[in-house]
Amino acid sequence: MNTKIRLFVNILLVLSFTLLAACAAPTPQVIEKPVVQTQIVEKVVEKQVVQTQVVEKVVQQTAVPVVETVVVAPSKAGGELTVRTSEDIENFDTHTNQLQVFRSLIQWTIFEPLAQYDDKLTLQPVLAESWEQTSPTVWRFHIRKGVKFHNGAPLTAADVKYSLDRVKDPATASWLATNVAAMSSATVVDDYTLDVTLSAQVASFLDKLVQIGIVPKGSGDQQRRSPVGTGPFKFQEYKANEHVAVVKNPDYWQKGLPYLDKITFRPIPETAVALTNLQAGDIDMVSFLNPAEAAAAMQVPGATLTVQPATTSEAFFEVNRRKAPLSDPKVYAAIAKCFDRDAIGKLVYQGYGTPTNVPIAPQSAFHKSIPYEYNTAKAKEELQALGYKPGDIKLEIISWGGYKDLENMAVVWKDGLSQCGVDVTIQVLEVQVMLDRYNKHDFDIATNVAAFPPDPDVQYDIMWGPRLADDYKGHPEAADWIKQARQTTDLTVRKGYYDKLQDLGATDGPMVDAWFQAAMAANKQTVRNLVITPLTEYFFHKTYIEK
Amino acid sequence: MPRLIVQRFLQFIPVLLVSTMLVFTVVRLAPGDPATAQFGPRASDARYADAVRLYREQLGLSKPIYIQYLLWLKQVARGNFGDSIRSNQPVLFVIAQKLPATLELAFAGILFGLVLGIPLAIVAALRRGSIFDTIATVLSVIGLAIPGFWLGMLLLYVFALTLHVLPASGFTPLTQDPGRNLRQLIMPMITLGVYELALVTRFLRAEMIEVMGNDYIRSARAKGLAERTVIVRHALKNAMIPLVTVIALEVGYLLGGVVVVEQVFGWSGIGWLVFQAISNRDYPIIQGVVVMIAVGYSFANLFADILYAWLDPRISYQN
Repeated sequence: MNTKIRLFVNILLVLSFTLLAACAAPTPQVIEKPVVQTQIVEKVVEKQVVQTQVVEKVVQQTAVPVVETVVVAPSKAGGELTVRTSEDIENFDTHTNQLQVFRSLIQWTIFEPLAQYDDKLTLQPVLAESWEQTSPTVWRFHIRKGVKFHNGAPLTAADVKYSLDRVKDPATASWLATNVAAMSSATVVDDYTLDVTLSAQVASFLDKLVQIGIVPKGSGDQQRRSPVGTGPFKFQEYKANEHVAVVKNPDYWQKGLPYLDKITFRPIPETAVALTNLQAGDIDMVSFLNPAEAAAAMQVPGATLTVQPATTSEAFFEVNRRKAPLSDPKVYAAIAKCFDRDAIGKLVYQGYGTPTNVPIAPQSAFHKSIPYEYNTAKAKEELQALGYKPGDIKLEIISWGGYKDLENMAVVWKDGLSQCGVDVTIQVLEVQVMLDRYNKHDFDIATNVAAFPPDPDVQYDIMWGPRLADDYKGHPEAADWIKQARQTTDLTVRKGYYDKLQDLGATDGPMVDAWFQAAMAANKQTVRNLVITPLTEYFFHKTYIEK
Repeated sequence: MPRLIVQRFLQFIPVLLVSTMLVFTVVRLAPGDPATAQFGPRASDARYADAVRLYREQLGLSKPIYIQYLLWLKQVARGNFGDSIRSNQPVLFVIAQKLPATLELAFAGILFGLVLGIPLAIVAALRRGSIFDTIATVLSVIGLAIPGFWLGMLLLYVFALTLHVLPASGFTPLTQDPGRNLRQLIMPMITLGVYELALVTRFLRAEMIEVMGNDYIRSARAKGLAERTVIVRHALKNAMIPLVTVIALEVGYLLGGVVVVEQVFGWSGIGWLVFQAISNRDYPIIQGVVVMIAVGYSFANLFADILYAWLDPRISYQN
């Protein structure tokens, strides 16, 4: 009897463990399935093309308004969309919230900037109908008439001035402050004309403005909890860790838009749970998928993948050039040869996106194609020639927790470095711990990902700028090149400087550039016209639910 | 009894002081602070130095930790727990929003464990060595070992995706739509309750076995009492005393929320709130929740002490 009971118990235990194993999450497989490339299909009745012209050495740039008449098919109007966010949004202030999920998903439903890049990376006038440089350091903006804030107040130049001044004010604690660092004043000429005076010519000034939402004058204190903008949707309500809801703005200046009545953003931190909710029909869209998650999403019945194949979002490694032996350019050059971008493409990004050896996206006119070299044998010889035996160099790569693709990128480089005789440990850190070590420069190599507007001055300013004083003393000319490129609008001259910077970065830089990512979202097949721009911004202006 | 209650309330004070002081210090010693959460990588950019410094001053973070703590205590003594750094909402308001969900889930989980676990433990103890006892023991081991995330996902797959009988996630307040609330409660309750069930079964079974061997049980049977009376009125009552202690600790623990269960089912409670607050270094929320948990544990223990006296008349708090 006891033997039988023991046998029964053992069988039960084996069955239990088998059940546990069988019910484990399926390993994502790459399955061929048609994907929807983000595209806009619309009837354009009348359209004028925006042209930017460079005339002689005094640059005068004017933007001709784009007039579009959109024919609204009755079946497009109406409907509600539920979108997953990876974390809860507690702060709706467009000037102080730097969370990617807010900036990419929610911000541009409520707010609008003066100009914005569309999905073709063409700068489009938004709240500024047109602009010109009246002198090298003065930009004149003509504010669009007939635009109202969600509180009913009309948009005027005073509101734009307020917004720019607020971002610049240290008391606001805005992460965008450096975008307007060169602004010395903003002057209201009349209700619809604003002059912005810069301390020096800044060619990328417009690019820096595209990240700044315009808010009503004096509304700064309320924006965190009750945001007010001019966007296609109005803020309705927020319930902590439950949802954020925005509703259609009936007074939106683009007549006929938006189509949706309401968008609800629900925080669901775990992607597996989010995909379950998508399958159950509780949500309509899951954004910010990495390739492994996208493969899992393609198995969800009734769902499709929306892909922006070419973004400016780059995954890269920051190398701490302050520390030996990484401060040695020859060591840097050697370890850079141990990084296999082809393996990244196959194993980490599964063919989505493009490898890169430079930080400027391929779509940019300033991009220089510089071939990368992967040669571990040569790297090993170079290190040995420098006197390093295998195991002499020990490096630590720190990586952001929650970013599996970055962690896997680090694993690939670790593998390559081990073949070069370099010992590597990888630490995946909680966000605040990562930030703390990053800000204290307490790392050898750190993974990172960032999306920048197309003008390279923005990213060189943010990524290289802080390092030039301390990390990068070996190349004082780099700071001069960045400054020169910023202060001229001659495209040929700028290209020359950015070519030099890219050449320098590929051989002896503060970073190792790795991969320009694709942006992917899984959505129900009835969700149409979902737009993901190359800046990884989701636009819901023309999204509709197919009935 | 009234003296016991007064004594317990007086004991709250040192408990609250020690726990808040510890958490206050530990959180501020951890890497990162609200300024790094606000500015991210730009916190180390020299061009943001003024803004970062100003931000830290506005939040009082530039003062010594003990000064910050005393200022916070002074504020709390007036009933003001401050505002969330992230959302600017009053801490008490934020916690009050989340507490009903956590209380509901905690008590549902414990009730699930008690309602199923007590009979299971009794039968297993009475039929010790039988196949029923073996099954109960194995299931309780599985219940203790099974990861909550995995069980939650399994329940989602079966009941939400395959059978379509329950909603996948979300929380609707009980007062708003009781029917929907209860349907949303089922899966998270089971996920949490399986552990409680396992705990109650194992613990109570062991206690019952020990109690059933005592002389007074033999005497009760010898007196001719019905077996049911012997088990319920004599054995169970005595076996429950240690279990009350365990359940009181579980209540205190669950009042802090269970992040995994809340995230799997979108059950927006205290667990998720404090997890986010720790990630974002939202100090006022963290401190407010710590006070709430300390008070919760203290009340749970007080309730356990009162229950002891009811279960065992020999226990008296008169002296």
